[in-house]
Amino acid sequence: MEPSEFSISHYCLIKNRRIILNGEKLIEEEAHGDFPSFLSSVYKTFGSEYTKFYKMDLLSKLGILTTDFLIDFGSRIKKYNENDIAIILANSQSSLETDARFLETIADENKYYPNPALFVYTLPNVLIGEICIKYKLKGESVFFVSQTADFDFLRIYSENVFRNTKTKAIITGWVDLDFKQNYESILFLVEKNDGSSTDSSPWSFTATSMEDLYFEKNLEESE
Amino acid sequence: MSERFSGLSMKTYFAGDNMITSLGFTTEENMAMFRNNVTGIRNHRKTDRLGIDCCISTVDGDRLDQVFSDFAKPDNYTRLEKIAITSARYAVERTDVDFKSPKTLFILSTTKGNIDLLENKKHPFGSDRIQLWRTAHAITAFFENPNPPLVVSNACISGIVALITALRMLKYSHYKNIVVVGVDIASRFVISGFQSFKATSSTPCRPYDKSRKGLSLGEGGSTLILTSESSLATDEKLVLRGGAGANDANHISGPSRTGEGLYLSIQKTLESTQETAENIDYINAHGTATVFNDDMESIALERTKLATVPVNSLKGYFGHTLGAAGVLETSAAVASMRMNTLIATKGFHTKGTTQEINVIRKTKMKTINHCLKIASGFGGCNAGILISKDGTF
Repeated sequence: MEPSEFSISHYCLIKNRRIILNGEKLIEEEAHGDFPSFLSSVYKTFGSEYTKFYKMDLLSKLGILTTDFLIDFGSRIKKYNENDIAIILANSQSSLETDARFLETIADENKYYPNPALFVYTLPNVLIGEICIKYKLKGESVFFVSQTADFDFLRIYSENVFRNTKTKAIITGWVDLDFKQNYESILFLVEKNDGSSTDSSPWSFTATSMEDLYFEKNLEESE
Repeated sequence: MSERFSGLSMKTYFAGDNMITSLGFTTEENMAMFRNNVTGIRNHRKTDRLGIDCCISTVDGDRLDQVFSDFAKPDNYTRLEKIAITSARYAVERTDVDFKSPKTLFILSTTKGNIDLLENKKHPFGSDRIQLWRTAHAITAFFENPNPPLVVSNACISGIVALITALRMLKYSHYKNIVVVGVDIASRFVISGFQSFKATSSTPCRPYDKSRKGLSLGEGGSTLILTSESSLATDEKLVLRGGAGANDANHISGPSRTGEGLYLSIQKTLESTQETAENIDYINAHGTATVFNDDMESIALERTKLATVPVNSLKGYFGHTLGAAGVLETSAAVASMRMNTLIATKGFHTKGTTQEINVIRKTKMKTINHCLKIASGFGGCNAGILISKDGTF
């Protein structure tokens, strides 16, 4: 087999009130409190001071926290130019959790008060905008919507972006939140192998490897 | 496993197109209305179908049901799906592209899909029909396409991102044809949201004009069929040469004051296609007619040395169609190139942008070999694509 050009250098998974960073459990919350309070608690425990966090919708908060851990609050991508980092995200529910909240502000004729600060989050790609603002990233970006996480497509498309543009690193993955606040988020930092050390990265950039990390198959053996 | 694809040597051709707006159900009908300087933007009262006072452009629902009933039962599909399916159907009818082929992929470009179902709890379509992927499946199932469709949802640049995605997928996958369908409907949800931003105009929008007061929303659908097979290209061969996107990294709802992301998108589009600014004959711009958007675009065009190139916005004819806009406006740009016609910017009278740009005032003939299409949207996103006549580069 030919050595792959790209590999996953880091990943972060947030689901079931747990945060897994590069295969290690970073945090596990007891099952009390709701999803918004889980996010706030994580932000307070680990977050850097970033007041915009409180203005974001839940999908953006989830995605921003996953990104914070993935790139270690920016330190892991410092070596790249701001134009050379692409963001390729996907989910199943688009922004429907926020859509339902916005609808509440216009549903009742007597309490009609559409809120622009909420309306802007009724687009899934605004999460990408939030990541770009926080980390000053200006590269290529796209938000896809699919029924289930299609890691093979994300791999194919990421490779297309590497080949077609000057992109040097890609943040890709799945950030999903439904009406009932069921959530899951997994992001991968994909970098070009520099050729000198082909075995430096623990995860190959393949759909199988991404699925294993998403379904936590890598953790089963060690537990 | 090594993947061998045609890669950079391959060309991406336009094989078919369609536009459905308030002005017509085909590209030709729409182009004729532009030439006659007609707008489809109208006042709607709270008592009308949408239940909100607004000044927007909508598709003729009766005509939609009438034409749709020629292919399927209108009751089984939502308004959005009927527009999308009719558009794709009209586009494919005039080509030899096989929609049922495993080598044909569908990409749906939309911001809000069937958002009207969220408000109407009594709809008959099943609870998952609100999901964008489900809508896309309904469209591909209609055409008996075997591949899982892609859905691109990137605010107002969705259509351009979908075209860039199509270009990249044709270069590095087994697909030979890609059907890009852009669609968004008028809804109380979206209209109230834009009104809350104080971004809408109470009269038909006036892109780049000194007295512009905001955008007019629009409803529409459009299809562009792209192919890597030269034999399937339309008679005058047009090529989608490249495209690029960039984020402002500045604000989620306001355009960058320096036009940074759009500037970078245009630079990267020209660089990646090895084209120069002086060769661009025509720019089909975003031109929403909000004060900030149009100023921002003028700054980006000045920074990229494109300020003297003829530029238009078509939003004065059919409004801002959101997820459909990039596909609709590119369809119109492609038709303009074939007809070698620069379409006037409806609503524009007096120059009024930060930088002076060459806004097209009157529809006129001009050879168009190279056209740049640009767009910007919420989330700080921007993108551009370059289209050229085959044999001119």
